[in-house]
Amino acid sequence: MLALPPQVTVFSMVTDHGLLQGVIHMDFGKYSEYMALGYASMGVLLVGMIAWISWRFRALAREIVQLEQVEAEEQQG
Amino acid sequence: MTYSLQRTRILRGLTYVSAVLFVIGLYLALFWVGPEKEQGAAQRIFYVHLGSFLGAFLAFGAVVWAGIAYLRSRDNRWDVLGMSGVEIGLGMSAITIATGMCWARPIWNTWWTWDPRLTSITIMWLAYAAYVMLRSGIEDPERRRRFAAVYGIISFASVLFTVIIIRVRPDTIHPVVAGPSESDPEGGFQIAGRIRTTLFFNLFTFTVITITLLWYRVRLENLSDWVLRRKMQVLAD
Repeated sequence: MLALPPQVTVFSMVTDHGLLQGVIHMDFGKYSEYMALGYASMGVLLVGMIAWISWRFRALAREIVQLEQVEAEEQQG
Repeated sequence: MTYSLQRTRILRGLTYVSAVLFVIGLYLALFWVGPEKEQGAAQRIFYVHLGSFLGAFLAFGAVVWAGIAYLRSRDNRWDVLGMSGVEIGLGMSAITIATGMCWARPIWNTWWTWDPRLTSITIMWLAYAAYVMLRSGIEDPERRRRFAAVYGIISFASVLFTVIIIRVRPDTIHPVVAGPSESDPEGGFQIAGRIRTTLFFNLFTFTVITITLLWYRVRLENLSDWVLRRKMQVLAD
């Protein structure tokens, strides 16, 4: 069985409604909130860079479709 | 516009490799390596902080290379690489600054201080942000490309300045990971074991991510140029 890292604890609990619920608890120790903030900021910036490039690719693809339509109309006309 | 099928396949492969490396890098930094005794979980930021700075360094290094190559050959492809390098480098250094701030808050008890290293990286970031703004202000394409090449080469001084400042200014509080410093004149690399492995893995990961993003950005610029040329052709017809 795959061993879990020491920061992660998985336990199950029975709720008031009798449902078995799996709970994952992570504990990174002191200053973990700043660690989370640091990784979150990295994630936002990295995803932002990828999204920016991807959005511009899509915008150019739309322009190409429009240009092809104009060219097709010109050929017909 | 068509690209070489082989290059497209390599880029696609590189994208998957980047994603896998990133996930493994996160696992190593967050779970595999243990916490540092004094800095606690905040120390785990160090892996992406240093990795993103290496990414910025490589991207800005590519700008210098592209600038020199452009001035020698006047080939527009080098100008595209230079501009792409600046954009990717700006993003990577923004990650360095943001993660550094999150580390500084619990360790230095402040989000920001005008320490020599922090001041120099701010100057570096602003110098490259100015590149983007000044570039868009020049209308003549040949003049714009020439200016961008020269500016890109000169701006690299701010990157080198950021790297060496903690070795020449004794009043910095920024940690020195490798090489001689005020507190350790002998120098050397103090990191060992899992921290070393995690750090090097993340440095490699950010290198691959930077190359991948740079490649996509270059393709985007080439496509943009092609669309513009085609638009002019349609208008001329």
